Amino acid sequence: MAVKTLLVEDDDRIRAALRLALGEEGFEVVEASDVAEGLAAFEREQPDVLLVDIMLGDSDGRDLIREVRTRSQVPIIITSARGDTTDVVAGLEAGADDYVVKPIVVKELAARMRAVRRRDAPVRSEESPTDLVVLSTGPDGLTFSANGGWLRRGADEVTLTAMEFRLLVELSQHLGQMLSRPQLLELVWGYRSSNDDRLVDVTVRRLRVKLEEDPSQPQHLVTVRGLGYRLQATT
Amino acid sequence: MRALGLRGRVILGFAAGALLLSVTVTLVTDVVSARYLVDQRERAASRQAVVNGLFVESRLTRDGADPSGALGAVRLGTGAEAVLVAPDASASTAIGLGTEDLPAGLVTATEAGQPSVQRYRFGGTPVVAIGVPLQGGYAYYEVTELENLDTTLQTIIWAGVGAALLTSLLGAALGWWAASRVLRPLNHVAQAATKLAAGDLDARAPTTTDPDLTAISSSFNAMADTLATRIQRDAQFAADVSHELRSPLTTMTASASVLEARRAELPDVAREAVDLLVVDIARFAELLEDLLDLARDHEPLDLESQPVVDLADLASIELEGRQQVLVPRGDTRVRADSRRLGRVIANLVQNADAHGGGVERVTVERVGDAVRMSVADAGPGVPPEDREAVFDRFSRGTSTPSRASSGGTGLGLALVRDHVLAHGGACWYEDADSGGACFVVEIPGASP
Repeated sequence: MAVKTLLVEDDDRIRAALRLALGEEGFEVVEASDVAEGLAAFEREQPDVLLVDIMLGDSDGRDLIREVRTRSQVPIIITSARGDTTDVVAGLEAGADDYVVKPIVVKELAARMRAVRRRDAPVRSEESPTDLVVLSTGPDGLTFSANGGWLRRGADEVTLTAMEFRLLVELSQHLGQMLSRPQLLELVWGYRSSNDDRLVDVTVRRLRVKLEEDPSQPQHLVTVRGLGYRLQATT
Repeated sequence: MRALGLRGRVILGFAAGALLLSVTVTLVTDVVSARYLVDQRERAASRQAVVNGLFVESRLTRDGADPSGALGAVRLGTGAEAVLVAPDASASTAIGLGTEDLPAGLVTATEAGQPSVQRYRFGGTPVVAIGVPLQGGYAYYEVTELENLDTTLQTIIWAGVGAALLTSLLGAALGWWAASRVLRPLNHVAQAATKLAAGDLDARAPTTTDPDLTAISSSFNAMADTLATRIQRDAQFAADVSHELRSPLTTMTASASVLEARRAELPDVAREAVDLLVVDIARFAELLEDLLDLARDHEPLDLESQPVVDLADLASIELEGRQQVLVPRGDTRVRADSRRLGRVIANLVQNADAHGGGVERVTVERVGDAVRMSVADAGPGVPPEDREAVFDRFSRGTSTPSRASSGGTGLGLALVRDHVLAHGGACWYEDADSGGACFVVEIPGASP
């Protein structure tokens, strides 16, 4: 079954070209041209992945992302004509999982769309019967199960986006070890590139908000010598 | 010799002025006080000589003393000597000196009944001689040394020299202070200019109420305002161009990828046209990115706010599939914008591939406080005359055949230089051991 994609883009010609090109890559594209139309299409079509432009004429793509995030953890990729740090970071802060800068190379975009949709945990080796990671104990203790696909604070499940989940999976499999930004980028987003430190940084920041009691004083997801990050359990 | 700065000249001027003033004052003081003291001394000596003369006279006439007895009773001051000459110069009695030691003019005048005073040098010593005619044809002479007066005058001169030196020093200090006062507002402007040059567009000279200085600070600030506005406008323009060009380019690349995917269904001529289109759209996109990068990244980075990255890791990422050429040595961590440093490595690798027959070896090593990366290729090297120019925009070596076949945008090494300079580093060309070209990049290492 074709992957249903909602493309929110205000330029008719880009929309048409991307629809054709993504169609060749096996995606079914639904189009919308602004935030209101995008939200309506999102409710109606229940897409598998969203492509959202930041500058949508008078409206702001980030509003759409924030609104969608209140009700769904669907993978979202930003398509932006600006590669400036502030634009990209603001979009990622709003809840997007990845971003591509125009002009878009369609094969690369398709690869990223496939990557953000993978939520399956990596196969565990035979001798570890459980993948349960206890990050803290007590009534509000944090436990994480990669195979189960959940993070719980006490008995409540914490909702994670696809990339937050995958980041947690990689870090929990290297519990107590530092992973550098390039390593995380390759393990989580699946690309070897030196471009996207901010992708890792912003996603870590978002994960801390969900994980830590005080995100500015992280106890579990700590920065290591400015080089990378480490997940650790509190004893 | 280097010309003196403004401060130096002001200090020198003040010191010279003070010196001239104090020397003048000393000289005038010396001359005036010398004359005054000599006059004083001469008057005192004259009075004393007259008193002594009258005393001798009374001894001779009233007491009937003989000349030597009369003279012997005279009490002379220090450095004074006396001569008593009998009428018609028939006999003379002297204490210390004789008639022949007296100036002839003085003797003549005194013998003529005229009391006289004359200054002269006697045996190298300045003296004053006073002649007093006495009753009965006697003449009384007294000669007083002025030597200790000279000592006094010398003391005054030495004091004057000391005072001159001191005033010169004080003058210099005053000059230094005055120069600092004058230069302080200029220094404020200079500091603001330095900050501005370092990329702080909000840097302004402090406003002042001094009417002599408002001109310079306000015109500097006006210039800074204009500059800031222009830079912001340029940045806005680059952002607008970026957006306006990227949108149609997105349509083009996406459409071209559809044509490429359906390449097999096209007739031969159309297929050839599509191939040309696809390659050049990609190159156009690359060129646009390079141009925007050049337009955007002109400010020096604040390295402290950058994350720590391992240059060897970045090189390993950019050398995907041929990491065996990478030789890392030591602690190669740096503080850097990894996107920009990644571009540096990618461009050097691309350059080696396009012009140097492929990358031969990439060495990343710690050299003192810096991390150095050398990218050596297997090509013919760069001729000496092109070694500086290779880092220029759109530069193409004379050995490179043509634009189309060489690949790349011609901006790669210019971007390398821009990015490296922004990181406070340097880049240069060397000959590789193997005879090929070796491009070296050095940026400050992260402190452990």
